[in-house]
Amino acid sequence: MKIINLLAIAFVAALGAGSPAASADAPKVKTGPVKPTPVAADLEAGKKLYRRYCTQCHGDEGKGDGPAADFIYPRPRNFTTAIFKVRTTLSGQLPTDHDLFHIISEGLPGTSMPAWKKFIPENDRWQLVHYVKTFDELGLFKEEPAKEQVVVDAAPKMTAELVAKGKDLYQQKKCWQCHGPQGRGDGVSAAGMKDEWGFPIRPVNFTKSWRFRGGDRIEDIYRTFTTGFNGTPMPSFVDAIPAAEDRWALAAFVKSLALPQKNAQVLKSGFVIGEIPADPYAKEWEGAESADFPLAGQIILEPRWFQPMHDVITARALYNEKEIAILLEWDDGTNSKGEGKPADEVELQLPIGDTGPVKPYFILGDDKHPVEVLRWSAKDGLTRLTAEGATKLNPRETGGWVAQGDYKEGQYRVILRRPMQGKEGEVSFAPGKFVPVAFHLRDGDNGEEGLKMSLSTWYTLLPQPATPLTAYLWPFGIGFIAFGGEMWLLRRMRRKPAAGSS
Amino acid sequence: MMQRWTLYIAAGVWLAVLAVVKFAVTPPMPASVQMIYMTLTTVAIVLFVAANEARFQAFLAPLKAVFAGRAPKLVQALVLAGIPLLAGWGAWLRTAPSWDAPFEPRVVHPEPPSSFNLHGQRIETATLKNPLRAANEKNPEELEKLAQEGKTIYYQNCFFCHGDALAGDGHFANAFSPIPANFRDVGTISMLQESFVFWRVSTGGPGLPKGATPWLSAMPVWQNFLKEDEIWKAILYIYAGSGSTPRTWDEETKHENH
Amino acid sequence: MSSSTTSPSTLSALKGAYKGVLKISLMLAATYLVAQGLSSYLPAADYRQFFGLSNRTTVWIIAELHLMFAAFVLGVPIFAVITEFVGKLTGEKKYDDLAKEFTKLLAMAYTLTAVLGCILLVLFVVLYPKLTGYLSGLFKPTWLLYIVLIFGEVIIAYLYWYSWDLLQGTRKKWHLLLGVLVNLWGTALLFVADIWVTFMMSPAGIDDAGNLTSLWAAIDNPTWMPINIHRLLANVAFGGSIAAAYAAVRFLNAKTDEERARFDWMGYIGSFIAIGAFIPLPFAGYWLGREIYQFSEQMGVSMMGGSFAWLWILQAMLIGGLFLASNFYLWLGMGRIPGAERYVKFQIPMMILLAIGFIVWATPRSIIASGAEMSAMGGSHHPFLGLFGVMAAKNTAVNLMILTTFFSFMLYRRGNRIPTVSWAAAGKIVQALVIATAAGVVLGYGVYSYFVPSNIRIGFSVYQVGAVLSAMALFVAIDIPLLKGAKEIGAIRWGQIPARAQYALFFLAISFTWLMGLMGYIRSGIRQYWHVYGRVMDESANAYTMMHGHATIIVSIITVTFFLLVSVVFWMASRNDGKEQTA
Repeated sequence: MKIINLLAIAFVAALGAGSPAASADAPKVKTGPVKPTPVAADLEAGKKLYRRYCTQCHGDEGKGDGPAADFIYPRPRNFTTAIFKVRTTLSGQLPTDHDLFHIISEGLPGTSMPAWKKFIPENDRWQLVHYVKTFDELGLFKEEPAKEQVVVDAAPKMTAELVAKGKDLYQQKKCWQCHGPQGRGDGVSAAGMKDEWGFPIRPVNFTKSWRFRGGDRIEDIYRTFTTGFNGTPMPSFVDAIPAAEDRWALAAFVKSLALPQKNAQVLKSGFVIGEIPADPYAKEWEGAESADFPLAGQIILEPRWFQPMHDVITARALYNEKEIAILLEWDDGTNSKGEGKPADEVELQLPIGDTGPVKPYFILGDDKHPVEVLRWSAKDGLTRLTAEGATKLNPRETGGWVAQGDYKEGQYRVILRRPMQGKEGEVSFAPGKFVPVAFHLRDGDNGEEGLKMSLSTWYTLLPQPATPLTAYLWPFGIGFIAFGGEMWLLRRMRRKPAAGSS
Repeated sequence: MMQRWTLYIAAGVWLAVLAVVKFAVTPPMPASVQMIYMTLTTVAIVLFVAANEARFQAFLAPLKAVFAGRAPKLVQALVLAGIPLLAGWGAWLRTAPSWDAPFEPRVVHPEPPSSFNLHGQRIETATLKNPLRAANEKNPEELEKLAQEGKTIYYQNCFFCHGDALAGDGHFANAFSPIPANFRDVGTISMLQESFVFWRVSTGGPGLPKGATPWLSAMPVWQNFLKEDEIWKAILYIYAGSGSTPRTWDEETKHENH
Repeated sequence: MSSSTTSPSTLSALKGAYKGVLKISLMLAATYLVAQGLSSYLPAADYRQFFGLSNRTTVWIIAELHLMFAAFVLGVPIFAVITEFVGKLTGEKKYDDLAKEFTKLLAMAYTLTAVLGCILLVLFVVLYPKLTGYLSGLFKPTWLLYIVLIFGEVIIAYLYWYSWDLLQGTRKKWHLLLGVLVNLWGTALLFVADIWVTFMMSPAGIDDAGNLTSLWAAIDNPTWMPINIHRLLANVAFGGSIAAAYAAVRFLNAKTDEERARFDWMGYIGSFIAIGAFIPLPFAGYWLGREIYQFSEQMGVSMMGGSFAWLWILQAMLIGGLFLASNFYLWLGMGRIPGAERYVKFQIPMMILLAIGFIVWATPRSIIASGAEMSAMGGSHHPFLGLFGVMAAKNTAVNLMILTTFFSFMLYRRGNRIPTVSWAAAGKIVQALVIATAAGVVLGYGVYSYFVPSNIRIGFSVYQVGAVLSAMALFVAIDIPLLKGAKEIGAIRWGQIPARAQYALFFLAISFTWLMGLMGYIRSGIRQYWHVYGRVMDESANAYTMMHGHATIIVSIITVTFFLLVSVVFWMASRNDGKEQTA
């Protein structure tokens, strides 16, 4: 019930703002006249360009139903209703030509809309703006084009006080109901949301700022609060938070939640003296170096999975003389334990035994080079499998492996641990030795199971040894030899100054 | 006369090149290339200085002054202490462990096999031609139509990795290594024959020879998903869409006979 | 070695030739007996092992060493005859002495070549009995021809050496004729030996079952002529560089100014001929490459783009180094030419051009980068460095380097001369324009080729090369009359060159040798698991392409061994030299 109420509120806010009456109240927000469009329309040229660059997703008729539309999430925009998310105009209003031009040029982060400025000349992008507007079935672009656009002032300095104020507002204004207490998109009403066209939509995870549709500068976030995302449950907060400085505070808070991606090729495992903590929230883990590994949908083997929910997994690792432990963490707005829908799962893939220059195939190995898969499921906990390719998976006892997992505030944390020394059919870990690792993630709520998953390519895990003594000895040795050479030359030249000249 | 300053000019030029190599290029040059460039710069400067006796002596003069004790004491001390320190520091840069992933040599343009299997049939690479292009050589409209059919195939199968603009930057591209080919790059499909592209598409990552790390390539085995003519159509599209033309030996031979 | 004294008499010349024939006959007989003996003693098999050594590596090392000495004994006479001819034309005795100095190196080298060839033959028969049986069955007539040619070569070469002092003065032309015959015979030997090598790469003239259908087609297979030409040019370059290295050794060990002058001059001539033969070499290589691509695209791709691509980078580094070294040598050499200081000012722009050219030339196509660097670049292609990695950039760079080196040499040539002809100023301007135009064409096409598809682009290299070659020809055509009767500022002070110049000559010789080994490996390696490409498969345990590191180590071992053996030859030659002087 709550969900429906909220949605209703959101839509009322969004649609209401579009009516002339609401516009009349709008002066709360500082606006300015819309900038003129620099290029006149040439619809023939626009049509040609649209056919070449856009129809594959947005469809011949602009309905967002091109041949690729079913394979991408979020779905491509349907232009016929003239509803656009990222704008500089007030909630419910049409975007300006410059807004459309900006989207075409810069693309939409976190979607498959690319930044076309790299490929299409400026003039042609303006023609596309003109042409896209012709799909508007209601003729809104003709009848009530946006005349005013929001003026975004210079951003205030991002201070701790401002962020703290924003945090209070985040609580007060119940942003957490959708976006979750830590901003991970796991609010109580997050599940099951739909957009205006009835397609599923998820509240954004504020830690993944690289996916913010409107951009992740503080000015962009502020603008989004001010204008709202038309057609989605994200309303304009002009009414709820009338003071601009409050919206800036909230923007600063959201910005402060962002965790920039720290992609790495090597997962470096630090050495600890004593026990490795079993609690995934222990502070020793905070000290361990983290690495992000980007994930993609498994679109290589049948069944191909085009709309994965997860795009990154974060890992840390620690080791001592006896054991190695890997902490995997990822955000998931829904905690699916396998009731009605598949359970959330994470997998760590390792080769069986030592690899030479030839590695197993990165998706579940191959005939000649099998892999082992450590699977932790929110329902069943740890299981272990041996894979000789995607079709040959065999369960295997878990051996020395132990797993511990937890879900808290929109985030899973799972620790997998094992003795350093491998048994028969297991790879051994040793300081300074690189071991290939790969990761798989499944979001049960999104219907992911089996090969329907997100996956990574091979990376390497390294128990990082102490810097060897020779690394220090060489510089000293070479410096010393250089000094010796100097002294020799010095003596030679000072004894017989003439001898040095030949 | 400038010649007096040879040593200092040489050092200055060396440092300037180092600065350019290190900082002037974005994205930064890989260390291996920096190493090559600086080695060549060093060799060129040393050879230049040594290629003329007067210049060489002018270059050595300040050093000789230091070693023979004619230079001011402070300069002597600085140089004599500086050289071993620099040498030691240089050695540290080499020996300090970085724990980077081990380098995997990878053949970027693998050689095609003489034949491969497609849907259970044996295909000879040497004689393979794009049948759609060959049949419609005189019929550009039909070819354009086929390329448009290829476009649909491309956007339902390929663009997730190879990108909306065929620039190898699809929304899944950054999760894979090697990253998907950029068809707009002059170094990719435009320097390959269509038969090569057909082989790569049909047999995918697992069809690569060992030197090209088949276990890493995310290229699917497309013959499992597509029919033969669908693959050829998609190939027509990637050339048409990226504005490139396939390499053909006939044309080259013709060209050379001029 | 019995060439210690060369008293001018017909009898001693005949005696020398007779000894040579005797030696080679004994060697061939011994080879036959050993091969027969081992074959009948060892159990029959397709492949045999040799004291647990890899049969491929053994054959490889011996074959390459044999080839290097053969190149030496084929290259040096070409070079000796040219020098001798120049001596006859100019009437200067030092040319004749130089030619003789080189020829002296030959006798010992012949023996070594023959010994290595015999070992190789035994290895073939013993280690690869089946393949050797098949090939010798196909090419029986050519084997007989080869033996006849060997005897001819030995007789003529020994006569050439032993009759040196005999055929002087008016009889010089007969000696020159002998020299030409040595070369013709040597070239014929090379061509015959190339038949077997090239047949294994690009077999022709056989049916599907491997039976001979046409001997001539098998001989004249697609790669035969390109390899003949490529090897012939390489032999001259190689012979010249080894001779220059020899001169460098002698220069560094020289006790008197007169000796220094002599060997300085010899080193200069050696390096000049080496570089001269080196410049057209890439074009012959291009022809060979095309034939390989046409014969089998797969072989072509694996040569240039596939697993062997890394070795080409090594090759590129060495070739770039050769350009730097030859300019370095020429510039140091200008120090001994009075008047050449006028041209020192050109060295800065020339070095900048060479360095930039080398940098572009050495920029790898497939960049070695760590994972972090790759993600910073957004893949294995660097958007900026990628521009330098392609063939268009490399062609442009190498053509500009060739042009610069040529210009260096032209400056060297006119170092101590001031033209006196009336049109001197105009001539110089035209020459400058010619060079500038060629550079413009090279650069223009280089840049333009980024904007056209590959099938058009590939033709540009022909225009670039054409521009450079015709600029060089035009320049020389103006230069010769320009410097006719020119005023000489002073004589070249031979011998007054810093010792470090000699190391450039060593570098030249070592690089050439190493390159020969490396290119030989690539040429042979691209057959991969075939004995005869596409026809006879290598079924031994060695039918794999080895790691590049391993291959380069073996090439290095071959190079070191070759230089050790060559040092022995040099040492023997200089020892005799000492005797001559005391006698």
